[in-house]
Amino acid sequence: MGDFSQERPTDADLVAQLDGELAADRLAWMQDWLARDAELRALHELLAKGGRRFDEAFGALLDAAPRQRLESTLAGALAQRPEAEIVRPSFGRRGSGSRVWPRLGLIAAGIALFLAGALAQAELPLLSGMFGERSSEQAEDEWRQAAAQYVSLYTAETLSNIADDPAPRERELGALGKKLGLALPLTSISLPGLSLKRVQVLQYDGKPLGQIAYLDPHDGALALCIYDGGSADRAPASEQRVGLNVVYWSTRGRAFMLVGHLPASRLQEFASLLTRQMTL
Amino acid sequence: MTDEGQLEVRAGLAAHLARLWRYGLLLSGRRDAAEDLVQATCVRALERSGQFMAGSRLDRWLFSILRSIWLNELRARRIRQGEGIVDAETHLVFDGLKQVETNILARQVLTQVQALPEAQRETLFLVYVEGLAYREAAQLLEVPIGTVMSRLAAARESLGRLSAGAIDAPARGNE
Repeated sequence: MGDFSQERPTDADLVAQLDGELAADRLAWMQDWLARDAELRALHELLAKGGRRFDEAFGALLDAAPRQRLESTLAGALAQRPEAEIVRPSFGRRGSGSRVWPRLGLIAAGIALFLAGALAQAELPLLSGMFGERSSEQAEDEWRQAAAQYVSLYTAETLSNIADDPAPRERELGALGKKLGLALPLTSISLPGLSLKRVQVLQYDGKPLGQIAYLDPHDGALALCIYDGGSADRAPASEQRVGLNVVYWSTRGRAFMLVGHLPASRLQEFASLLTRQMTL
Repeated sequence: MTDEGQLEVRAGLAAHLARLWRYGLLLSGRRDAAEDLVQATCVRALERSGQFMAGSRLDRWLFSILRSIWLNELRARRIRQGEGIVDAETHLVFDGLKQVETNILARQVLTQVQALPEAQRETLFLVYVEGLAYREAAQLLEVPIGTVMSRLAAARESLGRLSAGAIDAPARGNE
């Protein structure tokens, strides 16, 4: 590298220094020039003044994105290109021990068939053991991952065509309640501001999984999932799965989760409300 | 026969929709065009998913697809139809700004950035909002890294003069 010490820093060099992209071997050179050149210092200050909280300001644009419509168009594009064949498993554990979930694409293929009514059994594909491998212990969160993936395929359009009619919902809740061994009157699972749209009896790993789908006029689909997998009581906790917000808890041997695009704080409020309503 | 990379594209698209829309909004200045760009990007990404290298940055790959569609298709069409783009240095007005819920300061930043010339605006967005390194931005924009730097400097200089109490700075030399 040539001797650049006599070269005056350019505005490109100044920007690089401001952004932490100046080569390490030029830092001292820059400091030296700034120390002795008032004009350069003034320019440096001007460029520094040109900085803003850009990522904060642009963060608001992310919130303004029309997510429901974007997801619909993606779903449409995916549906026009179904995966041709089953693929090699890309499943296992990373070094840190964190789970590597089977690709959503496979789940989506199976669930698309289910939503189209093509499958007789309302069984969500098992995440582990998909390719013959079974761990001795199923991860406790596995059912939540499967359920969240299923819910992630819902769009507002999926639910908005369903008329608001309590009678069929009551019947469905009765059937679900029998399967889960719980009383589920409509009043116990109602949520303020949301329309109850669909109640489904599913299964995961051979155990009953209820899914109660609501529609929020602003944030789209929300699902309350109840899994009779046998679990110790636990207080509500938050997480994110498949880009959705989740609040989950366990009580009386059943595991519950609320999952959707609604803000986590609202899900937490609903979780508290449901725990109160369901013990009445 | 599907493979690792194709599945990654199919599964990964959903997570990047909002950021793609935002990029489309920054490029076009219009919400409807941004949606069109996202849709076209999804279709193109799925068509080309076999080219995606599993484990590499899906977001960068999607951004380059969106950009290419904007430059080669949407933008070109708008120029031909005379829809408000005159040349490479046109300043765009941000049509959806009023609908964005944000504070006054953030709105001011957005307005100031949208007022920058196209090339500076996009470079600033990629580096200071999306966090690309200079080299990554240079690759995506298909320009030399020095061009990235001088665009950022020009943008900062404009914005710096807008700040209250901006000092008199010398004319830029060393082009």
